[in-house]
Amino acid sequence: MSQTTAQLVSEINGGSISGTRNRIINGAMAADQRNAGASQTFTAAAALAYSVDRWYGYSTGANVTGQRIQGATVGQFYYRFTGAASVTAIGFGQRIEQLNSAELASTTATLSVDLANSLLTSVTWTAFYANTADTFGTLASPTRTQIATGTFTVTSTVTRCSTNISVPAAATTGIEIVFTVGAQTSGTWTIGNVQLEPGTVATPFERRSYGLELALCQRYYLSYGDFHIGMNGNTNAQGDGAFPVQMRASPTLSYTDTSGVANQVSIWSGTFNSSTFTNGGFAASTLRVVLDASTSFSSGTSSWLRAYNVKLSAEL
Amino acid sequence: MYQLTTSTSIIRLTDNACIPPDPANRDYREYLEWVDAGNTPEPAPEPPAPLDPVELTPVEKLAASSLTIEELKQLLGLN
Repeated sequence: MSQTTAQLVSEINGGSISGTRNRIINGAMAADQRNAGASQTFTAAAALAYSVDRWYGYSTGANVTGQRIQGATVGQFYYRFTGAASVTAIGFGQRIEQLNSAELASTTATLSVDLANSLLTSVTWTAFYANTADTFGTLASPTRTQIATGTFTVTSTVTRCSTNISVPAAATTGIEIVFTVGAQTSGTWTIGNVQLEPGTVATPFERRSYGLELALCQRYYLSYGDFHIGMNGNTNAQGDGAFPVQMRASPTLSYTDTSGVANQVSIWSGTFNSSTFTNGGFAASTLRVVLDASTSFSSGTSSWLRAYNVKLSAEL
Repeated sequence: MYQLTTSTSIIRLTDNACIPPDPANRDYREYLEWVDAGNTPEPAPEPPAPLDPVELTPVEKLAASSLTIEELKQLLGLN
């Protein structure tokens, strides 16, 4: 085997032209379990808020809105922020867990992204690694170390931008990529097809099937829908289900009753009725909702309960 | 702001999400940082008193037993 062939095989198996080379999940912004394409408001100076799957946003100075938008063809999307008066900065980032990024340490990686901005002419990119495994901290108190930063020159037309990043040996604890703009006081900022891949070559965006991409996202966030809970007597109820994929960690759970009231479930007894029962605990490897035995559900009535809008988050 | 529950989970009062005590969960880590900063979660809510059982009328009790009046009289030796 010649050296050239050996190099080619190496590239195919683990390099820049290998499959699933993109360490960014949902780089095409296709999966949007939280908002299903609806607009989201990012509150100024608040904690980072997750938006399209795996991506978070934040703003300073004033609130901004963001929304997944349709691209040129069906199945192609971008994420777009709309500026507002007094905005001083907007950020959009993704935290990549240790298991999916540690092998990039001590190598050169390449970051690529489609960008456009109708007001500003530069977008800053910054790469970090977590100080401890998968722990990046908060916006107010980050626990991460900067790897590198730079700027992309952008116009109002979507343009592909890329840069090489020398990933240090210590970056085995998870990597965070953040794009930021300054005073987006009007106009729009558009982002799409983000890719972080091993090697020095910016290859074309790796387009994975929607089903695969959604499954990758569900490790971090799951919109479960409605969930039935069986009653055990009048004061105890439990419901169990399975996650479509193993979640990254025990997830934070939220649900509503049929009226949309958070942390309440509805009782079936001819009609759905709002209840006032507080969640008593749950396990995380599988979906389990346990309603506390200290509360009576109804008097002498065998029935079942239903939690609506069940959502689970194990984001980084 | 957080509230304890009767289990090990924590309720985040801003959105009523239920947070598991998993150190890998970012929400739980934020809760621990909040506590380390000197804050105290609200105690678990007091369990409400159980509902009173429904008091059946004598006619309802008889209907629930599937006995007729004649059968009841016979049982009690009133015939």
